[in-house]
Order: sequence, then structure tokens, then C-alpha cells
Amino acid sequence: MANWEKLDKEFYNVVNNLTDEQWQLWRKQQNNNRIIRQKQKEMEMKMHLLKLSFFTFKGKKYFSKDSIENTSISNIKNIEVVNNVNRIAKLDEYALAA
Amino acid sequence: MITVYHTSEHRGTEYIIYAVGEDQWLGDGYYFWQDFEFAREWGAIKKYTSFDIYAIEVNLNFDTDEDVIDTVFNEIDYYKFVDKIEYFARLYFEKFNDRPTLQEFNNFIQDYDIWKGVKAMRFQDLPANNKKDFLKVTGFYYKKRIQIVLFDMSLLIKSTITHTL
Repeated sequence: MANWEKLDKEFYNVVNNLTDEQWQLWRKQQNNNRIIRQKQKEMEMKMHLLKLSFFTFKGKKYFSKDSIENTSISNIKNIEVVNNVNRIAKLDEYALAA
Repeated sequence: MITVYHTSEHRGTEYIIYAVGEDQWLGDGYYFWQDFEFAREWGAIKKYTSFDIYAIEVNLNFDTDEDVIDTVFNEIDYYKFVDKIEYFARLYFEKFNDRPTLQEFNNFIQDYDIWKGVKAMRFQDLPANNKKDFLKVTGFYYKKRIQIVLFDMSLLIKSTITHTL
């Protein structure tokens, strides 16, 4: 369960204390804020995906479209795993060095 | 630790997609299905020519973690979350004489860094109408189509493509 004492406080502290002018300003600026936030997130995502690409365990099991209905989670097995842990560690070292 | 599933159009890459845009229910984040069958169904609904289903291991426990919101199985989380949405909607209506959109609610939460510490949310999607093979009783939507959105990407531990369909 979430810590609602904390979450309530965060929420009500903002919504109950904005002036009318601040509400208006927020409404006007929200789309610009969103664009800026998305650019930041895209940068974070690129960094994470770079890391995840080293982290990805390459396991593939191909199924034909005809077999979709007969496929269940229990069929997922014998996945070839390529562990790139050492490369991740290297990446972390580079990140720390930077 | 839980395993969740992500469906995306086959692109020849092995990355899951960070979802952004106005139609994201809970804002920008990594969206997953809790159950494999709905991940598979999603690929069919989207009519992808070919799609990948990823099994993702996530360092998350909805029973014990305090920085997650579980609107599906936790009654308090559900009603608290509903309260917040309707409280926001009431204030918004008072200010602008209109209803807020989904995106405006999400914008507001993110613009003011509200709930920044929340790492993930579990919520229930609408019942599917166009593919019901997973329902064993016709017309009875007894299965929750559960989704999980992660805001903290460091929770992703392991990613595996399990199916290419």
C-alpha cells in the first residue's frame, strides 16, 4: 500500500495553495512544460536503453501465427541466455569515470 | 520481483518503449501488462504486422513497497486515488468551468512534482471488445486487464523477448 500520508500531503499542499493566477498560468504553460519534460525524459531514456541493451538477455523463441492460440506462458522455455553482466559493469565504470 | 509483459511492434531492436503522449493513462512511463495473455491480445488489437512480446523482470513488490500505488488490488490505494482525481477535477471546474482532460491531470501531477517518489502504479484497463478468446464465458468480463506503469526505469532488471509473432 502506498504511503498516503505522504502522498496526500504532496497533493493537497499544491492544489490547495495555488492562486487563481497560478492556475491560469499553469494552464497556459502546461504544453510547453510537457515538451521540455519529454525532451529530458528522452535523454534519460536513451541513456537507459543504452544500458539496457547491454543488459538484455538475448532470448528468442519464434512462433508461427498459426500457433498463437496454442501458445501459453508455460511454453516459454529453453530460452538461450547471453549474459552481458561484464559489459554492464564496464559501462558502469565508464559512467562513474565520466 | 515480478514478471510483466510489454508488447511492441517488431522493429528488429530489443528495447522496450518508453511511452509518451496524451493517451497514456497515467502519464509518461514504461507500460506493461501483468498477464501474458493480454500482452498477446494487445498485439492483435493494434494489428501489428509483426510484434514482439517482452518478459521483463522488475524489482517491485506491490504488497510491501510503499512507493507504489496499487489501484487494482488495494482498496485504500484505489479510493485514495479516485479521491485525488475527483478533487482535482472539482477545483479545475471551479477555475475554468470545464472538465480537465486526462493529459491535464497528468501534466499537473508532473509539472508540480507531485508524487515524484512513486515508482510504479498498477491499474485496470477497460475490457476488450474485439478479441475475447481468453474469456471462457461469453460476455462475462471476469478477468481484469491489469497494467503496470513504471516511472523509475532503474526497476527494470532483465528483459527477454519471449515471442515474435
